[in-house]
Amino acid sequence: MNMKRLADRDLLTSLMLFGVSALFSVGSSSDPKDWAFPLLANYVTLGIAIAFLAKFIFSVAMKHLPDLIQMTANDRLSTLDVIVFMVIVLVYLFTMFGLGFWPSSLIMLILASVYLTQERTTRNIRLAIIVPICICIVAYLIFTQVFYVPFPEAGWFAS
Amino acid sequence: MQTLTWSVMFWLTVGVMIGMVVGTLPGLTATMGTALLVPFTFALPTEAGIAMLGGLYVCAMFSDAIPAVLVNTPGTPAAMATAFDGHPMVHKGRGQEAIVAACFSSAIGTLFGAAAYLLLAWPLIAIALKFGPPEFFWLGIFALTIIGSLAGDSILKGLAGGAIGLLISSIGISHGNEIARFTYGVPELRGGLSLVAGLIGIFAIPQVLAMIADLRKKEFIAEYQPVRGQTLQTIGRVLAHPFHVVRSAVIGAFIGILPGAGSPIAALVSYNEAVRWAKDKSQFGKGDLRGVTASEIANNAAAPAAMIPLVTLGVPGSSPAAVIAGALMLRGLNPGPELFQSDGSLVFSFGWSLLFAGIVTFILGSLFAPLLVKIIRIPLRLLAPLIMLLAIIGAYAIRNNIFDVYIMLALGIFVFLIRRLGFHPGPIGLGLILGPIIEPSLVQAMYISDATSVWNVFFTGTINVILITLSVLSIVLVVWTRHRDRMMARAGAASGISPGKPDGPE
Repeated sequence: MNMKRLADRDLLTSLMLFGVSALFSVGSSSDPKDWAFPLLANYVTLGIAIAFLAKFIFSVAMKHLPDLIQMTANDRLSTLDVIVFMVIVLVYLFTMFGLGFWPSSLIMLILASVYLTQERTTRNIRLAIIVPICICIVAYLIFTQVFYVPFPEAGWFAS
Repeated sequence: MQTLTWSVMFWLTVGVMIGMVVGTLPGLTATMGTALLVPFTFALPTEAGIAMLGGLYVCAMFSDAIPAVLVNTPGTPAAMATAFDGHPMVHKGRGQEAIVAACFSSAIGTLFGAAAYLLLAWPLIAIALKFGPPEFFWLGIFALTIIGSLAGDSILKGLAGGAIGLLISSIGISHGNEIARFTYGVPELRGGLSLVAGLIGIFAIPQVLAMIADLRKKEFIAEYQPVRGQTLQTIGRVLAHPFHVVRSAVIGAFIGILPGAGSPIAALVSYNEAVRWAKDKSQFGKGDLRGVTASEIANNAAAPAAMIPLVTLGVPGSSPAAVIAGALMLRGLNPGPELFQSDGSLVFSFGWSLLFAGIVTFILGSLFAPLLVKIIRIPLRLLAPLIMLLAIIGAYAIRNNIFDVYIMLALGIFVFLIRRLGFHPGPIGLGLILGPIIEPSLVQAMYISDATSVWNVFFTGTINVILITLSVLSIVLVVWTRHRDRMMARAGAASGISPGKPDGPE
């Protein structure tokens, strides 16, 4: 079988659904009422996973054209942007307990905005810094002063 | 009429303006807004204080449509169905029309719901009392049939998405013997997933990641040119479908009365019915104005209607209604039949204030619509991090729990990835919303059936039979419509005409 077939949409859908079904595999209980609902939903997931696998096997056997997930050079660059952005967000989730919620939010917003700015003109960079500052001030006032949401505080400098 | 005093109108307008902020920001719900406002209302006379809370509640039901339409991120679960057609309208340069339509529809819904509250409270509550666990179960199943409209190219993927949503909703303590399910030893999962955090994850995070992925292709969400006279034109378009308007309002008001069902179910059932009754279904999910109006009329009609069980029986029909009940109790007033007898004027005064809240919401919403739509002209490089921050704050603020943020991000990344496989977020969100309605009803009905039989509990009774029939009809219609579209596409391809295939929400 051609290795490209591994990127077939039906195969990947089937594998994903098998994964979800395994993740929600039913536990045991003396009373079936505890599991009736997730059991039904899991059977539906499992049944559809089998249907997609059967469709994939049939299309391979019949030598139909595969429905492959394509990735162009532009898509690769976009994926890189998404990954870098998510890394910034994950680092932010870690630092918010050290630096405090609002300073780390400001840093995350500025870093992400500057990174995502394609045309790095002075005006655009300035915007990528000023807009996050304004957003953080407004969000701080609304959520902290009006709605009293207790956000994580700075832990690294607590002592 | 006490409601017409300037003081009451002023505080009502203040409540409406706060509701505008609460609904617009993801994670801030009408319940949270009303709860936070209760202490401030103590300084006001009872009518003014309750009117302020009612104004907030009603307006939050409209303003949750703003992020749903503009950035495909429902402000509250009730606006999920609004996003199905509202956001595609934005992509077609019809953002202002979508916002005005949402606003006008909200006003119609609120007026209808408030009129039902003022005129039909007792007859409606008599019907609502006939709803037990099996009826709620079938109502949830009926709402699930909307998957047929949201599934996109593949009905199987829509079904699988719905099943995934239902499975996610079953994480936590079971409704039967209270055992932990799918918690994998993580204590935080025992309390289940926060619905709002889950919905933000399913809708907002994939949207943010898609914005970043599109950054090299486009600078803004969509082009937008303000149109003069848009408000009147849109009102005309909404009113051009009077049967659709009345049907959506009736569905919203009736489901609003059912305790526990609430605005999200009302909006979903109404959307489903709009698709089912429409002669031309091809534009649903691609920017059909009727999709926006069906959802908004119903979820806003449900808001005042949710007050009916509160004032007639003392049972709140929704979470914000429960908060308002608390506010009344703190003033020494007991909601229920007693309140009707002892403070009848307050009960009717509240109904009038809800009605006026709808009008004030429409005026403010129409005035601000052109300004609000400018959000879509914010460069994506600035908008994407901003929505991410609001999503994180929203998920965190619901329970002040960082674990909800992790779940939100994990769900968001999962949905972003499976979108490439042809899945739509709609069915997953639908499962997540309907799971907490369907499962407890199923378990309770199963306990009842232990005493009699499954047949007696689930398949007898007028309401059960009606809901089962409607569900079957809905499924048959979906299968038939898809079969017909496929046949037409094949015939079109054979004759060289571009085939039009069914599509789901963008």
